[in-house]
Amino acid sequence: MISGPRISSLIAVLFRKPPGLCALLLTALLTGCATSGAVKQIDKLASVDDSATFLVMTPDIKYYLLTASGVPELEPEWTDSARTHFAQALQNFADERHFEIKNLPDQANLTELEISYQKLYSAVGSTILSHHYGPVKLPTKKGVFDWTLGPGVAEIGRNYDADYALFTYYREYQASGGRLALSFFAALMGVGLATGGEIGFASLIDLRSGEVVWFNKMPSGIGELRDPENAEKTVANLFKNIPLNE
Amino acid sequence: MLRILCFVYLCCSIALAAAEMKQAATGANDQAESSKLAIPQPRIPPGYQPIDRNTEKGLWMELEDYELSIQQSALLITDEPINAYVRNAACRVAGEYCGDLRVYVMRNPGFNAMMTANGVMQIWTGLLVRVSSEDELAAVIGHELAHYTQLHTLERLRRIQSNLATSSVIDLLIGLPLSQMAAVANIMSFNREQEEEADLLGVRFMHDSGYDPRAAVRVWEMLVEEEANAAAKSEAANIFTQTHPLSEQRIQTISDFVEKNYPDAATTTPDSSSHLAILNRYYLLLMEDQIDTNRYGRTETMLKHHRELGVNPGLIDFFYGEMYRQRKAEGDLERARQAYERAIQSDDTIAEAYRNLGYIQLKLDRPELARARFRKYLELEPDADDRAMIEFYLEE
Repeated sequence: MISGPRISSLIAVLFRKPPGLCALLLTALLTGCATSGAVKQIDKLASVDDSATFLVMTPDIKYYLLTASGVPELEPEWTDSARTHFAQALQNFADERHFEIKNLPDQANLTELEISYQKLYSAVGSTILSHHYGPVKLPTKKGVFDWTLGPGVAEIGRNYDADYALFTYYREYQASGGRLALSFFAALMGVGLATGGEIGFASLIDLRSGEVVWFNKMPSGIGELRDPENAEKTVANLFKNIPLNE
Repeated sequence: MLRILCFVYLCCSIALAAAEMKQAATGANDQAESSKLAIPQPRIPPGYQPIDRNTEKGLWMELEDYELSIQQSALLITDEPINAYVRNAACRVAGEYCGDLRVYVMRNPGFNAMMTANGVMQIWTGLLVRVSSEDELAAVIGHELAHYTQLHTLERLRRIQSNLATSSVIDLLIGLPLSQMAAVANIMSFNREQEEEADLLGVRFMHDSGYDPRAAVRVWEMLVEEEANAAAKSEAANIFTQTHPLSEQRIQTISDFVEKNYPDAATTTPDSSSHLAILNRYYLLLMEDQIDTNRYGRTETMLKHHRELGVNPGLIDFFYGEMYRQRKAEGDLERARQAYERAIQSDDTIAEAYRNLGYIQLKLDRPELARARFRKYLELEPDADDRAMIEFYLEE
């Protein structure tokens, strides 16, 4: 039937760009990839100041409508609302946990260095997802979590006077009425059709060493960012177990 | 009782799914069944903005991110003269749609141009080395612009959605994915219809902006010839020809369209001067990636073509040398040496020809000759990046 890889290659054709992370995640979502949880390398944040400063890398948040065909459509209003509520919920979370956050400028105003580290992170993050959380383990890694962006990232830390970089990725696929109906119909015929869901993960990079010191993949089924209350809950889940000051 | 309930829900499911498909199909089916060879009309006005709340606005939002990724790509060519050349041609073809286009020249040796629904046009460097004149460049631009004014991406998206949704229902009923296969075939034939419309409207744009509409015929003929040569040498097909099926039939249709609608269009030899100036100025940048594809059949076809076009002989011979040096077939070392020798005797030679001739002489075990060439290279290019390397060879 409609399989994940097929759809992601269709998306690639539509937008004429390599499917990359988005397709990888969509595939995981549609084929059911259940592993989640956090990898925590440090218990306490380190900073020369009293409390650590987080540099919030532009959160990558998108909301899709999963149409009857299985082709997802980006939903602009949901996406805008999710981005706004996420930013507010993150600010509240930081206030409660007593760390300072700084935001990168808009994507269009990033420096070449920031863009290249964003791209590097996207490669490292998707590798962690597919090879640490995913079923295909790298034999030579032997389960050791020692991923890093390299010490060059320290320049960004100095530019913003920040101790850690916080990356977040969130995708939600909401099944349309037609999709739900089709999946019900399919279920009666004994065929399972994906009806959407969400994928969220976040990670913390030490801006002195470049090491990935914390990485969390949120369990699916508990995310929602389009209203303030649920955004608070989702942020709490996404950053559950994150290292703290003290 | 349960059975009846199930049946009722099943009917509702199909109705609901069908309603959504129908909504998705709207617009996909209203493509005018105009008589063949009639002049197509653009479907959107200049300054167009997305109307449809979901599919189209979502697509544009996604494409904004995509455009940003192009702007931040390491493969984006930023040299102003080459951009100005392509942008001016695009603007002239686009006429009143000029303000809706953003043109990006991308470094890629393949023959391709791409158009997104929000007006982002990408022209690959591989296209610039293949066309012979500004008119031929304009032919490709006209074709891509037509995809934009006919909302082809959106149409295709809707068609895929409606076909896949319909076929999912049918496949569930028959229990085999047959209908999905038919749906994919249908989408491909739909793509061919779009390509034909883009061909003809593209020719109209060219004609209206004063370019030679026959250049469209020439550019596709050139591509067919290149693919035939490449196939003869067992080289993989070009990405553009994978997505744009070329055939004698397609070229004939364009040719008939021009003869029918624009019989008075100029038949004189096209003016290649503006294109030639760009080729000469950026030849190293443009051809370097082509050499690295290791597709020698294509490279040789291009070099022959460029020599006929009038590209500086020093540059052509240099790249013959590069091609042989990289190919390393029987006798290629000697062929490379001869090509570089010809290159350095040219008035318009480049320093790199001396350096690479030096490397060939080293391989031929003639260290004295090699040193002489290396010295000349450093004399012409004192700030060369590889100066330390060359000095190492000089001291050896």
